[in-house]
Amino acid sequence: MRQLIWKEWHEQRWKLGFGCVVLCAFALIGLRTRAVPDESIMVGTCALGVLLLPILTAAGLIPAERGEGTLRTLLALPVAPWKVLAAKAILGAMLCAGPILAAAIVSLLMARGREISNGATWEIYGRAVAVALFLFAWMLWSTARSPSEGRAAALCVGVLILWLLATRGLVAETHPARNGMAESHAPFMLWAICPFVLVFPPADFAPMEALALQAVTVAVLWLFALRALKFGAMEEQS
Amino acid sequence: MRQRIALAWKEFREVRWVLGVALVIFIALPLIGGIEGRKMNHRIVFDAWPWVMFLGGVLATVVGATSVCRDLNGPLAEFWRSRAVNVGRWLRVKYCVGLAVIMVACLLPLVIEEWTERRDGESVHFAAVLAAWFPFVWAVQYSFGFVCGSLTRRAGPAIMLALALSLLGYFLPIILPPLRSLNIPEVLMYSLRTQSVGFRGPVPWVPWSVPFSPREQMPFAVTAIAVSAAAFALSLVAVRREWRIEAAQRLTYWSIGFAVLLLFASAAFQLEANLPVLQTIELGHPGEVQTIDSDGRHGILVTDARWTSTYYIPPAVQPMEIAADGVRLGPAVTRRQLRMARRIQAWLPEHPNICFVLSLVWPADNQAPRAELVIVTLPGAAATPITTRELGTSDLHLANPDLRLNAVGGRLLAQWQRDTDHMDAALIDVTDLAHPRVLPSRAFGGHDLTRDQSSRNVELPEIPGLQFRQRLAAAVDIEGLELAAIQGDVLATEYSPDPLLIYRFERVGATTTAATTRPPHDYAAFRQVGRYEPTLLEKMMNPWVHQVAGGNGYIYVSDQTEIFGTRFPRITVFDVSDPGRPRPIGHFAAPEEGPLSICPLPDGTLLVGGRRLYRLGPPPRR
Repeated sequence: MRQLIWKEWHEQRWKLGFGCVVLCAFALIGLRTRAVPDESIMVGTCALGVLLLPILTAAGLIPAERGEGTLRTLLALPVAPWKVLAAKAILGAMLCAGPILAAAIVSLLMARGREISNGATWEIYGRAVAVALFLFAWMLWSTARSPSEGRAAALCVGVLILWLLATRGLVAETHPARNGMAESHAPFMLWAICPFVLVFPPADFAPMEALALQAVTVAVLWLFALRALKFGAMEEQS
Repeated sequence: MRQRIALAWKEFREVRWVLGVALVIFIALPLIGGIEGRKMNHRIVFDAWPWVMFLGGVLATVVGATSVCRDLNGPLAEFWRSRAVNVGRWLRVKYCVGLAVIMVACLLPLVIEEWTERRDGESVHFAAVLAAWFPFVWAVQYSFGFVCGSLTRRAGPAIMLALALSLLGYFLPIILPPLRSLNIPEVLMYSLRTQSVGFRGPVPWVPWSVPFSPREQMPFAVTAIAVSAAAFALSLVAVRREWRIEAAQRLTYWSIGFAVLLLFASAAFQLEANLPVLQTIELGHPGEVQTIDSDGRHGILVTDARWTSTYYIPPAVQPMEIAADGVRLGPAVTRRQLRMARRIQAWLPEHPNICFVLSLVWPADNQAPRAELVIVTLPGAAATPITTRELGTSDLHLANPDLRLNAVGGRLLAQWQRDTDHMDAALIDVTDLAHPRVLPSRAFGGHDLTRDQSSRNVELPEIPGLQFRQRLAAAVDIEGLELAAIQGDVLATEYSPDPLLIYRFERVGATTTAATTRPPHDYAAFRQVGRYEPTLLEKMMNPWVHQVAGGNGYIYVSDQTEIFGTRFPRITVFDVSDPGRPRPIGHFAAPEEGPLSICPLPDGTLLVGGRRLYRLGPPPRR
């Protein structure tokens, strides 16, 4: 397992560097220049991370290997397929969360609570990390059978647009007076699988309950991705 | 010659799909839109320009990159090497044919639009202006695609790299003032303004009458041609010398990331805030500061009424004490407690603990409203002693309730609009708080007598016992000169998207009855000596000005921009020590939703009010 993670790390680490440089530079420039309020810069940095990182990561894990023809070799190794997928998922999670956390640290060092408190800063970035991870889980599953990186990237963009539109449909109305809580008549279970639930929490939002349901959703998606990986490999062999 | 024709024929065969795409996207889709909108417009309006403007560049980039990659990648590259064809000639033909096809594909819809829309009667059609200037943009984007294709020899990375370059080429001139002449929206604007300065007849290379300002527009055209030629020369050298960039995925990502960061940094550093925040004070209630009055030691804050989805926040008055160690706010007195419908407040340094409010009271029997001066003693919200002094209806024309109250030389000046051209004014003496008196006063024009930007004559109110400066300050504060400020001898008016105009005081004059229908009165004559033209980025953000204030040798402008529904209030500080060249030397952006109110203090600091009160230090010396 460690060797698998090492392999993935060597292949993907530039993406971690790229994400960290882009997000940290964005936060650094925005907070240094103060052309707009600190909170807007932090939300902008998070939006950039949430929109960019899951696509960049998910498209480069399984579909890239399949496109280059190395996935078959990888699955032929005496390693259980779930370990291969777990190594990829662990590294993918790191690639999604790492740059956002790095940007959070840069933001804390630059802003020092001058406009919004450090706790609020952590909350903004924490929510962004969670949303990025949930989106990554959806994209990992949806691209598990993609034959190439380009097609997988297009699929990821589709997943992102689909969830953005679905979230817009779920949120009937938001009230500033209710601290951004969403007024929604959608069933709670539908909210529970929505990756953006932490950004637009419904009025009857119970964070721990929703997070637990999200964790179950992520686990189920991972199992679906594993199944897709196995079937994809069998199809290729046949 | 035959070889060239053969090569051109081959190239045309390979890129003619572009014409098909153009036919569908640039002609069929606008036509469908026109047919759909037929009921509303009562005819078919063919609007191809949005499609061509936004997608023409993408098409040019894709064609430039793919046409060169097709023949330079894989076995075809070997094939071309084995032929007795000069690489330079082959590449020249390829470049020219591709460019010609792009031009036809993009210009044809504009020509059709221009032809179909001529009956509109407009002097200049946007389609014609686009047809005159956008070919230069397409040529540059096509050349970027061509050179990236020659260097990478892979279509995907070449397109991404070319798009990153195009992004920089398009937006950097918008952001960076030195590159202003290369900015395509500005170039288009010159052709759309028929009365442009430097207008020298129609653009010679289009058959329509498109206004042409060679001095402003030619640098753009020449630069675009030079960039295109340089890109083609580079691709020629790259192909001849087998230069090749291993365009891996990393290069593509890094180049786009770099381009985006460069644009963001250029924009952000142009708008950066540099006024130090010395103190941030919570208001203690959910209001938003509307006005700040202070003499540097005491003062008041007035917060505006606000509706939220669930409750109403009434307007409030809050006392303020300013000491060396900071600003302290007293408890707020909400105006709801004062039972007022329409009222205006003022503060006098002579009575630091009192807020004067002018109130109109409508009697129940439908009689004329009567004016009351409400005297609010601050602080103490719960036990505020509020006293009311009736001013009477005979002294104030109250038919028009557009009433305002200002502090002028230790007295209160009530003003109201009598008609579209005239302001009326009444001076209220509050030396004896128990018996405020309305002093006899005369009608007040209140309007700038001139309409010419090069000079301004500001009418001075006839208030006995006031110095010239006090009369001028009172005059600037009235209707018509609201967005203006006096700083020494300098009058500054208006700001973005229009320029900030700087006038210098020249003399005091007097009108005669022949000049106006009103009695003769004094005016202060100003002559324009300078102007600050907002940068393109400032214009793009299209802010509206909330307040202009003067003090400490500076002019402070508070404005607000709205981008995608989010409001960004800002303050810009101008140094007017040289009135001929006003310079922005300070910026401040606050995390607020509404516009910011400002009040310069004598110690050089600035009070800024939004949902919180900020005390800002002076701008850094440059």
